[in-house]
Amino acid sequence: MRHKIIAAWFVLLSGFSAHAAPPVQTVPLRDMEAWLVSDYSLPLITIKMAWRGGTASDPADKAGLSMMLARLMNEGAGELSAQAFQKAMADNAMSLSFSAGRDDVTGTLRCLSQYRDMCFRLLRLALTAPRFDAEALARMKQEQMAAILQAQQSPRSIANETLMAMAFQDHPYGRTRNGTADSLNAINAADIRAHYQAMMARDNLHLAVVGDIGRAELRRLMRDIFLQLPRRTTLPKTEKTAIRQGPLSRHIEPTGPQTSIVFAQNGLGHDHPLFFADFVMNSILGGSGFSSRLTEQVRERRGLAYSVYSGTSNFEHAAMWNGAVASDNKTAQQAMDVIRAEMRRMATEPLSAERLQAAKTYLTGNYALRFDSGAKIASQLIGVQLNGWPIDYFKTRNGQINQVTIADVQRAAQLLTPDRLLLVSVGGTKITLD
Amino acid sequence: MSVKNKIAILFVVFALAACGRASDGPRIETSRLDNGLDIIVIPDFRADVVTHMLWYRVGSADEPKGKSGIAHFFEHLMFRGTENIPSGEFSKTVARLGGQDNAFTSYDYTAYFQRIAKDKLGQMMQMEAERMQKLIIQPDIVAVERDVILEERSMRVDGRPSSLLAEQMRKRLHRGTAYEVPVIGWRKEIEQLNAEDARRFYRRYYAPDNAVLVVAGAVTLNEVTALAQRHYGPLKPSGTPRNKRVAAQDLVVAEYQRAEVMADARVRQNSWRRYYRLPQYQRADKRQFAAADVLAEILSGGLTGRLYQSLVVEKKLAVSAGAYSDSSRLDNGEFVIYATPTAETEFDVLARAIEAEIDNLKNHKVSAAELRRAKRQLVSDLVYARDSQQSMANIFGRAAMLGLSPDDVLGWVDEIENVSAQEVRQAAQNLLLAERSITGHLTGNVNARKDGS
Repeated sequence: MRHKIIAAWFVLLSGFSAHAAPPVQTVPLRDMEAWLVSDYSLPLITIKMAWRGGTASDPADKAGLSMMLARLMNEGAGELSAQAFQKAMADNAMSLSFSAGRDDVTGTLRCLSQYRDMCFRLLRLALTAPRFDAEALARMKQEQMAAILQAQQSPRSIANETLMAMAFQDHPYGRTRNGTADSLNAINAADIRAHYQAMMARDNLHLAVVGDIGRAELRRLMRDIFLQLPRRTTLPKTEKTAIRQGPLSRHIEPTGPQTSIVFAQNGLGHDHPLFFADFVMNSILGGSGFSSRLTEQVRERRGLAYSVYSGTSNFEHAAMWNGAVASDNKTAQQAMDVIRAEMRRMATEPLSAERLQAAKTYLTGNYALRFDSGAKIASQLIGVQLNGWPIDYFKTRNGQINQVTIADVQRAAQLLTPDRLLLVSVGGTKITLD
Repeated sequence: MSVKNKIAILFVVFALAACGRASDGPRIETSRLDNGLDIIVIPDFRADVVTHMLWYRVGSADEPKGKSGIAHFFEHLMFRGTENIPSGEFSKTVARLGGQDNAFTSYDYTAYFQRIAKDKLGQMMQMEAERMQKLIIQPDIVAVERDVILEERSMRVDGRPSSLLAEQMRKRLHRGTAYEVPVIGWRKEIEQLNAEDARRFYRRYYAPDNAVLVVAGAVTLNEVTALAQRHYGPLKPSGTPRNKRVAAQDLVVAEYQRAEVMADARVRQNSWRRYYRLPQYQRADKRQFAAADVLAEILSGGLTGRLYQSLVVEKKLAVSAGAYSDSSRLDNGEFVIYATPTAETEFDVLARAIEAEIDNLKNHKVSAAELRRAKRQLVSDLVYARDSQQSMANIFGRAAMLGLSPDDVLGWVDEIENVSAQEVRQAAQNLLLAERSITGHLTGNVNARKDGS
């Protein structure tokens, strides 16, 4: 075994193609389909499995349920207690973990080829016979409660949670993903089992597989593991929603040298005709790190902040444009004023052709950097599926960016509403939108 | 046959297959230019991109007294204009070419990197070489960047009680050595840093013979060396030897039994941590650090680790617990143990339970199965690391900053495999010494007594 591991170090890596995205195959089996990138240059396999649902599907009085499910999916299955299951994972140098987003619960399996049989066996157990033992449940509740408390001591998390509640009000997106002390207390093992049964079905499953594995073996794995899941999800559908109209601001007082500010408005969804124009516009305004106008104006020119950004977060049932900055209590209002001035400038002043071209070469060239490891490729494959995009997205994306014109960018920028933002400030200075 | 038995049998099969001699590692190649620039190349042809890193053998530990933060401050200034690249244009150019760039500063090194399409590698070298010796340091820009860094310090440290606690703990743990000062610097001293401080620092440390070039990705050693010769070759070496460090092996932490307490109303979730000061890396027997890594894995390592098992599962005193060994520093590293207590658990009850686990490791050998599991985790982590060219560049670059060759890094696998149960026990006995440790309590109870009892 040892020299097999070492041998893994030996091979000269030479797998994926020379283009941005590697060739993706679809592997169908009955009512399922997996996206596969076979690459034999390293003895590693990465599997991403995602079910639509996520924390938005938690019942209001049991907020935090999907997070609890995610925490418990590797805490014992079949005949293996939590302890025995984790030991078996460690003995086989594998990792299997789950996380709950607002719209999905995603599992990630990473294993070395030499241990694949045991890895797949443990995956099968976890997915088809999770135990949700009382001991593990109590332990994970405490873990989740600690996460709730930790979020309450970070100004940025406090601001974000407040902003989400303000933006989405009674819609499930407005709740915190971990829930509250009360909602967590209300969750029992039967709730978690019911949620697991309702969510982890075949018709809302997405699969991405990358690495040292071919079609035939993947089909076997799908038959042995995923075909064992129920055919249909019984989760209620999350409703479409929009972000509340501003202007509206809230200030939360404590403490600290800085004021942390987050702000939001409606964004453009995937199906909006200006989606790619908006993407390019956001890159120029606040989404491209050191190259963005916000960094240039707020940080480089004025020294008002270390970090400032903006961009669109697309949820499955809503699109949110948002941004954030943290600045000294004395300069926080100035920082926010500069941000809003840049939003206006984006809408009123047409870009130069060079600036647009620079944004395009940045976005298109950068795309290849998301595909330089098996783990990253798997994330891309599952992300495109969860967005509901076709498999040729990997090939068409850069072309769609290149088609964006100066006028398109300006039109997208005109949908920004710097005077009608939702805004939350946490810190020493109450920020206004005057 | 039950699943458990099957697992047990498979395990024996793997264990039997584990005999046999380990080979050398992946193809890491090295060369050196006449001006002293070391080159490390990590070929990975899966994607047509490269990670280009330039590591300088200078960090916060090299700062003059009273000038804390200058190493990190200087790293920021490297983006603020050269003879041919105006302020802010470095990153914009990298982005326009489809790449990403950034930099980071630590106690012992400062590194700059770009991730970009392979055919842009030469241009990255040209730009990186330009700022190695043609930086322009303008007082007005220095003043703005100082504000940025003060904001960074506010965000990372002053606004976070847990970071303030760590800073105070390290100040006591490493008293009298360079590591008593935080990398980002003390606020009062950052406020005074100026252009002349930056110029002095630049002249002394930014030279090819004080740097290591690391390139990972779709390139060969020949390609990299040829490009490096062209772009970095003409640069003049400084001839300045690396600073000597204060030896601190025998320092005892004054009042080590008194916990450092950070009581802050913003804290909602208490936490406990302890730092043990490790022997000074440069002068120490390195084998004990391999044993320390195994020891940390046995203590930590998720649900199967001893700390989690004892504190969280059995005694129900904590919500999480773990440990890690950070020996990769020129001077004294740290062995860190941390735990998040449940709402009902007092700090001293928690500490006693953790100390019982440490004593157990000092008094008894670990089991063969536990030892094997820990080693397998550590060794397979390295295989997983191969998936990412950026991780590989970081691993070999950081090692080079400690004076370790790629072969030393690859040999670490053997070092780990050879650690015995007795060595793990010795590591616990020799490294986890109370008088070389400091304990910290983070609490929201603002009435907590400063002596932590």
